[in-house]
Amino acid sequence: MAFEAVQGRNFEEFVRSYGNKAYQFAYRLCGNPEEAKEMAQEAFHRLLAHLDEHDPSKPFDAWFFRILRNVVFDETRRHERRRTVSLDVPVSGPFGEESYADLLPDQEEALLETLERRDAGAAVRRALDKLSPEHRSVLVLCDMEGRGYEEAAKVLDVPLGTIRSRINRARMAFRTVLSRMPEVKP
Amino acid sequence: MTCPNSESLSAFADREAPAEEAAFVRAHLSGCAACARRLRSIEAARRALAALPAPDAPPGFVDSLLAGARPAPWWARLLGEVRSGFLQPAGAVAAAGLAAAALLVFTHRGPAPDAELEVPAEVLVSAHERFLRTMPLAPAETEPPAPDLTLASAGGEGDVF
Ligand SMILES: [Zn+2]
Repeated sequence: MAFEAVQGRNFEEFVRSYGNKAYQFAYRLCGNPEEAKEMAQEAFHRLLAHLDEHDPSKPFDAWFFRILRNVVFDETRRHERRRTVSLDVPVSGPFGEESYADLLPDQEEALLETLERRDAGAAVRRALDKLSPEHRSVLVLCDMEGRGYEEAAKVLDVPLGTIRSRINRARMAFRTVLSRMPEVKP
Repeated sequence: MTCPNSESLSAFADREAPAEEAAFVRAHLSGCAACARRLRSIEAARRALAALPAPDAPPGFVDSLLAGARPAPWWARLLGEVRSGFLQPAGAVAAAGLAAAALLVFTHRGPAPDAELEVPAEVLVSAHERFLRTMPLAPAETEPPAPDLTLASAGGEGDVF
């Protein structure tokens, strides 16, 4: 039962080609090797349990990553209710509601300097971890894995326009969080 | 001079802005230092995120996935659950019953096959049944993918956002 063909593809083959990718995706989302392992495992379990629910007209790998995304969201919500910042990051600035969240010029400079430092990794990771799973996942897909909006829309199962607005808000949330870190001193 | 909104700049940075919008942003950037700086900031953030490490899965991970996908015998799953401490209370009771039964079989009854089956078999069966009822171990019993899959496809922005 476990190794039946999946869209003409052997299940074992699928696990071999996606096992590592799934782990990396989960790792990027959570930043923790043990959690990433458990989440990827759980995603493959759910995949097997719900094989018959896959709509054959939709790409199988995007469907799988959506399952994985759900696993990660479930886990994140269970563990980290406290640590995410509000989705409605205040967006004030001289250009109105939807305009760029401008920082003061020296803050902006400090932020840029931090981002361009070689050792920015730890601060960047901590800032990412403080974002909501929705914001984090769009940054993982587009900025970290280099996927286009269309692919990200398939994985997150939202319209293309949602990716466009979500990644913008995710970026603003990320800047806001990062600019408040002790490493980023004007 | 009207500056493009943040969404427009962000899509432009991703090379996802439609041609007309991209042309407007490009023309604007040449004359607006503030927007040029905003774009630089988006790109720096993207590079910093892309530079975060994404290590490979530990050795043996894929094999363990495949082993996990093969249905294990019930006693092996039970033992695994007992060891990892994931048993729920009802399952734990069943497991304790099972362990006690096993102990009975091996210490008091000895190896005689028919003696072995007499009493402990019932204990074993009922413990196992209780265990099966209470402990969702088989893949078919795991939670379905979160319900927001359908919600999300219906509404997009109605998705948790
Ligand atoms: Zn401008």
